[in-house]
Amino acid sequence: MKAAAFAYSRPASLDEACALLTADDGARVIAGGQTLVPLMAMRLARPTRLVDIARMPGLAYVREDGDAIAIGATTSQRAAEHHPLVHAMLPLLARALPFVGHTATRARGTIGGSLANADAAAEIALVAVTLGATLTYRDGEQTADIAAAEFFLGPMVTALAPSAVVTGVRFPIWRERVGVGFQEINARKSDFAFVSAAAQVSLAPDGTCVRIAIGVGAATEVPLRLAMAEEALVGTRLTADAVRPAVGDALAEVTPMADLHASADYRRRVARSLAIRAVMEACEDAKAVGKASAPAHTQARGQNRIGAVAHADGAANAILPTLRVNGQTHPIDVEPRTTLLDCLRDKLGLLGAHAGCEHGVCGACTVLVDGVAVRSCLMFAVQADGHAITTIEGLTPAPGELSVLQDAFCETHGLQCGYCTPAMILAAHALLAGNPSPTRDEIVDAISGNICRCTGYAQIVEAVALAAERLRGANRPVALRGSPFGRAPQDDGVQ
Amino acid sequence: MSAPHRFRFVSSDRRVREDRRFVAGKGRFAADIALPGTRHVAVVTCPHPAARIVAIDKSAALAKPGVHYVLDGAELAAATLPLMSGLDTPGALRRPLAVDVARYAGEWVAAVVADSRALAEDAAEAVAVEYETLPFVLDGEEAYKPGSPLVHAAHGSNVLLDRSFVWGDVDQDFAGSPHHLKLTVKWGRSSTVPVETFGVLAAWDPWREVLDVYASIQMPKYPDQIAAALKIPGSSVRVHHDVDVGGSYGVKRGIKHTVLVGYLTRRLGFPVRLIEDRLENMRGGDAHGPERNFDVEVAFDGRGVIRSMRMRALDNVGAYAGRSPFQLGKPVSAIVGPYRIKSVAYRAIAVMSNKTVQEAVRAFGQSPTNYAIERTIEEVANCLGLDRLEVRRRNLIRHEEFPYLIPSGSTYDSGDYHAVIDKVLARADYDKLVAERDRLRAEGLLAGIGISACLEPSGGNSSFEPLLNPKNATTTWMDSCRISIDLGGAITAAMHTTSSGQGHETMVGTVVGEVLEVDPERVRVIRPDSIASLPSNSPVGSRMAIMLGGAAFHAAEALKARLVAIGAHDLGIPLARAVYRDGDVVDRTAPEKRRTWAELVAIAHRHFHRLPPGFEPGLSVSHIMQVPTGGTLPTADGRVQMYPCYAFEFHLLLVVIDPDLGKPEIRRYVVGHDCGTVINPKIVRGMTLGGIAHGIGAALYEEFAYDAQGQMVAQSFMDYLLPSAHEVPEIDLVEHETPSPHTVFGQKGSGESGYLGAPAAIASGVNDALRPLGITVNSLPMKAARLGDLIAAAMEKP
Repeated sequence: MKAAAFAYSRPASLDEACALLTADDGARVIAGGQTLVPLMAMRLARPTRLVDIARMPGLAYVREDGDAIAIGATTSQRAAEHHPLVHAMLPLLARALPFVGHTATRARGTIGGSLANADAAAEIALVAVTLGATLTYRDGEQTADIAAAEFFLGPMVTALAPSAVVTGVRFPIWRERVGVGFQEINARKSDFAFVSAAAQVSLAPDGTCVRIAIGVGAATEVPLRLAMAEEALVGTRLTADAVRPAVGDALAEVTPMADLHASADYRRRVARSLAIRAVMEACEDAKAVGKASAPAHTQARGQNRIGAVAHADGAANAILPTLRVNGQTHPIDVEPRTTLLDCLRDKLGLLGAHAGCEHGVCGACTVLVDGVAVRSCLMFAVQADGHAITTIEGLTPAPGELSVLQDAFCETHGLQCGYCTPAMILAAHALLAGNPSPTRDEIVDAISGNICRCTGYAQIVEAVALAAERLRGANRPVALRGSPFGRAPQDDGVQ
Repeated sequence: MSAPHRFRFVSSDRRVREDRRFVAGKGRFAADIALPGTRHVAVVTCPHPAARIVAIDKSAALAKPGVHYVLDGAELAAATLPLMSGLDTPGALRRPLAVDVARYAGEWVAAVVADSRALAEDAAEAVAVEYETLPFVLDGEEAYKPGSPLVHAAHGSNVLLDRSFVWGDVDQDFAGSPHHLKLTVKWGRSSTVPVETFGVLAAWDPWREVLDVYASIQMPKYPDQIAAALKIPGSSVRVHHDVDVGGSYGVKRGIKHTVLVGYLTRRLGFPVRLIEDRLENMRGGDAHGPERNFDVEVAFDGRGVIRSMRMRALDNVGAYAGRSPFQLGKPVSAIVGPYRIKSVAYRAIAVMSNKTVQEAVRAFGQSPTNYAIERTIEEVANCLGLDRLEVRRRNLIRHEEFPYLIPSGSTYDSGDYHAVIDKVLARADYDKLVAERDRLRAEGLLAGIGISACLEPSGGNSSFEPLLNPKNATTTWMDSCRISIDLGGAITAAMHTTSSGQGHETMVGTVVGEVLEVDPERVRVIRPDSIASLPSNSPVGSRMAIMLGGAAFHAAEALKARLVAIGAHDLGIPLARAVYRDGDVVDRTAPEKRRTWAELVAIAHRHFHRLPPGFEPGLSVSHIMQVPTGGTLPTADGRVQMYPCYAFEFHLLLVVIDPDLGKPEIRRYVVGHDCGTVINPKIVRGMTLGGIAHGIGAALYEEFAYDAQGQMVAQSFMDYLLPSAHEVPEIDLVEHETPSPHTVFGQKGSGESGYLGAPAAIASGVNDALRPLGITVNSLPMKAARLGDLIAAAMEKP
């Protein structure tokens, strides 16, 4: 499962990017690549050239911009998920982002990339349509805006020409106190939704609905806004008796999709029931916000671990043929199509990262990129230069010596065949680096992107909890606690 | 463990020595091994479910950069013998690459060898194969009917196996029973799907005439089969047993891959490697497991006591005969489950179709059969309006009835099923659990309690082979261990197979340490290659604790006996007066008179003049162990002892379904497990919990689904859904210990535990949840959206 050969460019500016895209019909933009790379690995996508905009200056930001929250296209989903402005002003997106893939794919996947990819089940697209977001794009010389409702034409089809680059998106801010609801059903929590539903409401002090937005995703080829239901519900108290028929009528004429996992009938029924639930959840949320002394959404949820969104990398254009792994810099000489995983294994002899599926689902290839768990099969080696990469070999303190976390896996026997183990330990390491006292649910979530077929996970969860406990109990200088797992951190960048 | 420790190291909660290398990323898996000059294989696959191969044009592929060779099926078939089939089916031969006809979408048609895997994939796309499509059949029952398209024309039908057995007076028992009941249940096509695909590297050394094989393999007689197919002596095939295997649970059979690369390396003169990618693995590797329809009929009395059962099992084994038809044979060893059913009629049918070939999957067909038995007993309870637990209790074999002979000829060794159930009910607080289910129902949710009581036959006495193929008179299923003490006194134990996560090195160390009364950490455990190995049957059939543990025990005992004899002779005392104590030999009447470990070792290695007469020098003992209770052929009416040991598991869970969504959510899961004496609690616990997770997958998520055109649609991990940490609930494990009389410490097997009963228990829970709607689901997997559709249809009914 290796991508077909392609050329790789990392333009310094949008002008340059647009020129590359115009010159070559087969060229495609890549930012995070979390959807594109698996398609390339299966050779279902065969771009002749990848135009990498991930580090282009000025495209990674979250800021308040008039009546909107503006998010740059290359802002990672993870950065947005943890951004205080998103929590405070864009609670619906904050609620939806944890449903996007896994922690490890959100680390690389971008807001703009998800929108431009236009998957029918994408949560970010649903939020954009529901809230009436506006996308900004660049096509050749021209910069223009397009409403989200007009942007999505079908599954993986947008209104933009292949030469265009999405540069950002503006989600309107509702200044009044709002409540949000987000509902999703899928086979497994991180799978593509069978159906998802989003709602945002604002209520008058007496509880009547002043404003409401309702959207349904994954049921149809593009995200659906239930404008008819919204009209019917403004001015009501959003009782179940009001919401049910309004949503039902709005979905009456819809033709849902069917696939291997869910029938059209299922999607039709569940779209209705999740949309109702999302509205009721938003309504309850709005009432709770009203009661609280401050809007709940402005309260920090967990630690905000993202200092800056933009990359520190200044020389964005320079493709340095070097890879910084475990503190050492290696010259690399690989084809652009070589994944980071294959490069680590075949060129650097770092065999602790394993290939399991090579399409980004099993997590056996997980490494740390700038301290964050990332799938190395979903990243080409040429995209990785300048980042600090840590593999399992970099966590092991010395030959024959184990870190506290590694030792905890031995103590609980949090493994059997050992194939998924290095990746599992790296995912757990990334968790503990930011959260010294994780709950069981947080541990489960942190390792949920890593499939283990042997253990049933219980002894892995126990290992991570044991390591956390031992690390908390360790009498270590505060300064070293950021990296208590082995050797000192090798300038792991954003932690 | 609540029982007092009878052992020094066995049963104590010791670490697993293998873990150290894995947590450091220092496992040595097949893909980690690269010999200088290694070239890489990618395969060309057939896009059609059935097609004649008209022509293969290799020219464009050979013109690509870095390409060394394109191999087709005709060339390979001319140089090699077909792969071994357990049945005698000369008209349905299996080869690594299709010859003339391809029989499933994804079947390998040609293989490309290039400098890198990426270049090999580039060239594989350029191999132009002209096909003429043929009629095909996907459904097992359709394929069984006369007139169906034939998967192998030369075989004359699609039926590989169709055997009927009657054990006891079934007709009379049916006639004498007041109640009868019939049901059909289906086990969907799923498998174990390890995270590591199969991989193999082969290198032929023409100067030494040895084929070195590094593979992620779990297969009995693997070197012999490679040698036979390649027509070289077994002594020319050197399989390296020290390759770590990244999970298998039965499927890593890899014989066709190995014959392919074995031929290529001999033909081309450089090392050749094939590491399946996930698509190759899912579509055409040794990936799939049972797909089985059961028709069950039982006769029972008014108290729900089952007297007799008729079972027809039809398995759709895919396009070729691998070992899969035998997966209908293992369940003969526990055909009545843990229940006292007096007579059984069993019909086993293996039928071919245009789907991917099946291979051995964890529990080798027993888990589907357990599911069918458990569904049946629940229907008996429902039919009579009796409590499902009470009906089970009435039918379960009682503790005092062991050893218990079942109608099909196996004698269950030991068990205390009622005690295990009582423990689980107490742990789960069963009355509260029922109250919680009822509370959830009152809230408008669908809620159900899932129950299953299942057996794990263990020990790998595979007498289903002679049972299903009378031309095969195999009754030997040995395993072996060699232990040596060097002249420095260090102990080395050799095992003779690969492992895929079962912790065999830890087990051997523990057993040898126990017997020789030394710290197990002092026992080095090695894995000689296959040429240097004693006979082994590899870790299949939950056999290694019994067989490798047994062989290590007996070898260590023999070694200890030699040390005692050397010590007694050197002390000049009768053998009966010498006792072994922590490595020394002591005169029991005068404890100050002793020979230390170092002295005994020195005598054995250096002082021949002090050895007892007739003793061979040095300290090295091998033991090759035959499986306990094994060694007899089936009787004419098809009764045979299979599997020496029978572990028991009892699952109890609470499942909740939101009726609007249909997605089952497991809220509480308690399992009781009795595999006799546990050698390493960490390992056994992990296997059981992992088996349950695998069972959750088979029950709710995993299926190799095909569309009507014969294309497998669940061929990536986006559509074949493996449970993640989110999908596996916390599981409360209750241990119980009923030792087996047949094994050295009382241990039974546990490599398949959890998986034996989890699918049945989840099906039980879902069906209990659905009962108020009048729906029964009798097929696995029970996928969320499909359940949602069934629930909606039931609720819309007036």
